[in-house]
Amino acid sequence: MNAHRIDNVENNHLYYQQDQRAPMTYMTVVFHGGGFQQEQKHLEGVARITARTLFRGTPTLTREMISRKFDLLGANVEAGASETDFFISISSFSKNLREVLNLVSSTLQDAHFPTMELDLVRKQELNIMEASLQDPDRVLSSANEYVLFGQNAMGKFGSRGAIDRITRSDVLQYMANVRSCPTMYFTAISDKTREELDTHLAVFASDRRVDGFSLKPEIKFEDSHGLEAVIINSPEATNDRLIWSHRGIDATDDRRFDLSLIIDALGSFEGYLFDQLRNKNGWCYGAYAYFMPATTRPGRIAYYSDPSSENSAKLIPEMLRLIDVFPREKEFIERLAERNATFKNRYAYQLDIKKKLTNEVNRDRYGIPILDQESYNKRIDAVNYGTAKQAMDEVFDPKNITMVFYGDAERLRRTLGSLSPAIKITAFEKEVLVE
Amino acid sequence: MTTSNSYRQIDEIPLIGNLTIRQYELSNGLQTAIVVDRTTPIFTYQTWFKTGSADEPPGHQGLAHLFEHMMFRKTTRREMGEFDRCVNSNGGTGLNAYTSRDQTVYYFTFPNDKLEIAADLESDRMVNLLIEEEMFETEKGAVLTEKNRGLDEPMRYLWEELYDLVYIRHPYKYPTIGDVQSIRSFTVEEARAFYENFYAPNNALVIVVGDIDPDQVMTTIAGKYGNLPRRLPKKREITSEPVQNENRSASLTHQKTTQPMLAMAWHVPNMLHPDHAALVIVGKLLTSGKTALLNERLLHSSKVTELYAEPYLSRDIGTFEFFAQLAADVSFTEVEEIFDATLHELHTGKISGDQMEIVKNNILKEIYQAATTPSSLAHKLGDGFINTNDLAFQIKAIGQFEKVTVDDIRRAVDTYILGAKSTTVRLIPAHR
Repeated sequence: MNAHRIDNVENNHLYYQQDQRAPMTYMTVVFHGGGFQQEQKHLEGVARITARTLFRGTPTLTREMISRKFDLLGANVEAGASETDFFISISSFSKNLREVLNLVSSTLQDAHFPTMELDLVRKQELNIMEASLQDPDRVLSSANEYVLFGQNAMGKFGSRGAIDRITRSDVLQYMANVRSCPTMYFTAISDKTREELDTHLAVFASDRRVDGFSLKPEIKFEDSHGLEAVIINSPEATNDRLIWSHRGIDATDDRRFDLSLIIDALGSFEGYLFDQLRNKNGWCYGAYAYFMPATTRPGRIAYYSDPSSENSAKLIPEMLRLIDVFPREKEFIERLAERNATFKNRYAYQLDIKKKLTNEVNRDRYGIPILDQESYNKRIDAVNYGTAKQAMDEVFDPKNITMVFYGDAERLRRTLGSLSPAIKITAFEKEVLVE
Repeated sequence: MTTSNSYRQIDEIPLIGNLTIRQYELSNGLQTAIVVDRTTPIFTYQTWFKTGSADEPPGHQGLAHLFEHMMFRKTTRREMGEFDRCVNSNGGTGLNAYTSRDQTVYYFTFPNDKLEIAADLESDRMVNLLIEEEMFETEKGAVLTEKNRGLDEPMRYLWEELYDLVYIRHPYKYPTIGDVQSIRSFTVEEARAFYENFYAPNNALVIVVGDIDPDQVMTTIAGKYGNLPRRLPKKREITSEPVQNENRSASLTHQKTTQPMLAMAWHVPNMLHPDHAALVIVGKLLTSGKTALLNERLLHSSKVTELYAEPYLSRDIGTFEFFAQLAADVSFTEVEEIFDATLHELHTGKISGDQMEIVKNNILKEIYQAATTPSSLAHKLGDGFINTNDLAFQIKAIGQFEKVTVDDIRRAVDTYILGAKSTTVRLIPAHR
């Protein structure tokens, strides 16, 4: 089996799927390595600020003029940043694609980040960060990453102080480095042919410098030693929310076939946890297990639930127990035995064009890669209780779990404090996520 | 058009490209819509029941939603848990449901060779559901947790308060999930009565979109549902909403709110009213596209972080709604004044050709997007069926949008917003 890593994308390559149902093109221009992994500590948020200001002015076009041109062409164009990439997402009527790409390309070259627009974006960014704090699930998810990345910048909504410090010069410098990332590639789903798109995309490739941001190694998740709980104190919460996780496997680890079936049997809507905690007890609305995907760093096995505050003290110890004992439980084993059929029946979803495109770019990402049906079925058939048991023994780690909670710290401390083995508990206020 | 003893084809409506909507009816009244899309060898299967929270008896808010949960439990043919396991082992995904004011929708997706199973599962629970005391009480716990989740969300709180204020008598005033007291008080008998009253083939629409053969689908559906008896759905007992003769407003706080939020609403007619298209266009002129009027004046100037204006059109009376999440240093008055001034501008009729072209671009893009996303397409069809009795209503409405004139827009703004009474809810951060 071909085992590629996700940083193996090719410069100037178009990853492409054709879809002739509608005269539309959905495209991304990706500067690989231009994401917020490049931000310096005192300039957290500069990638996002740069992205949000990119289409807000050139020496000859104001923000409003650029926006109107895109609107009239039937195009929606947004820039953004992920951990590794700086990207531009484009959706456009295919008949206007050449004009849209020309405008994207010229703006990329000429964007001059007017001070007034930067100030507006800065203000918007601060307000969005504040608004994020009112959404319990977003706070929990952000806090989980913040904890797993060692309570540093990653995972936070942002930093008020850093946003205030970012100058126009910082943004110009950041954009210059993004433009000249050694690897720039494109993805497209379009009714147009690859050849037509390649012709349109030539405008991006001419004389491009390649001495800018290079992809850095990703920061690894920190593993816990024993059971370590972090509570985002929210005394007014009407119910608790939790994400727990422990170390998983690498992106191309062959055990991902076994793990996919195990996680489905354990943590799906029809899984063992949902059945035990929700269907049989009604303690929560959701109870799931899922993958935090591996990239070039190992992924994690994660668990989510949202018990009402009155049932939280019952759910927490029971969920911990189930994570420990499930491999030996008859009801889980019966579910697992059905998963070979489930996964073979699910082969059809592998042929979805969006999935195919994602798979082409990310190659063997955590989970099951796209194979021809015969190879796929063969690999799924090779999963049995013996191989799954071995994967469970090797990968599942109920003794070393990072437990992130959103809820009343005082009450949760009491619940966690009564459990054995002892759990190391810390708490912080959600404000940490924007400081 | 295909006809057999047990079903007849009613219509065939071109969508885009090779996509066509085929509409059928079984002799027992079950409606079916089929769209063949062979892009991926799967199909989406949705069942829409023409019943929702507006059908609940007075004092029984939340019954339709709690009942929806019970539909995943047990039938005379399937033990507890068997439904979910059957879906899963056959490669089904996306199994879920939702309840709204006027509809309850059940949906999943399957590989293209599992049509028989999908139809069997849905036809079974349409008439064979068993509701037992113990599982009913357990499910109440899950629903109460769901209710609690909502109480943590300022946005949900804001809209619940707005609908409570904008409607005086109409059941649209109540949140679908109900309140804690009513959820706790429901009995098994009430849930069974709800099932008997509203779940029947002649009160439902089945939508199948994907890599399927229409004749095979209809043969399967006729086989699985054809013998299900018609029932006389209980007639809706809705108290009509009185005309709003006064502006209404409320200012509230919520512990979780960090940004001020503003929601405003005006009564508008139902979806079948001829002004439907003009109201949709008004909403799009205000907030659809980067250069839409309010996006320019409020969003890009960073006075607000979120914004929309659009009609919420239903089977009964609807609302035209405006929502804004404000920047911390911006006052409600400032945003309300900008909104009001923008509406007056629309009312003068100063709408450029560019603005109208952008709106039409956006409507066309939405149709393309929906037509190529089976779940979105099914939603458009179901929405038409529930609100207008015409599942192709949203598709046919494209023709109506084309005909909307500046005068139509002026009249809609005047009749339903500027010349009408408003309801306003302002949500203020507790720690501001």
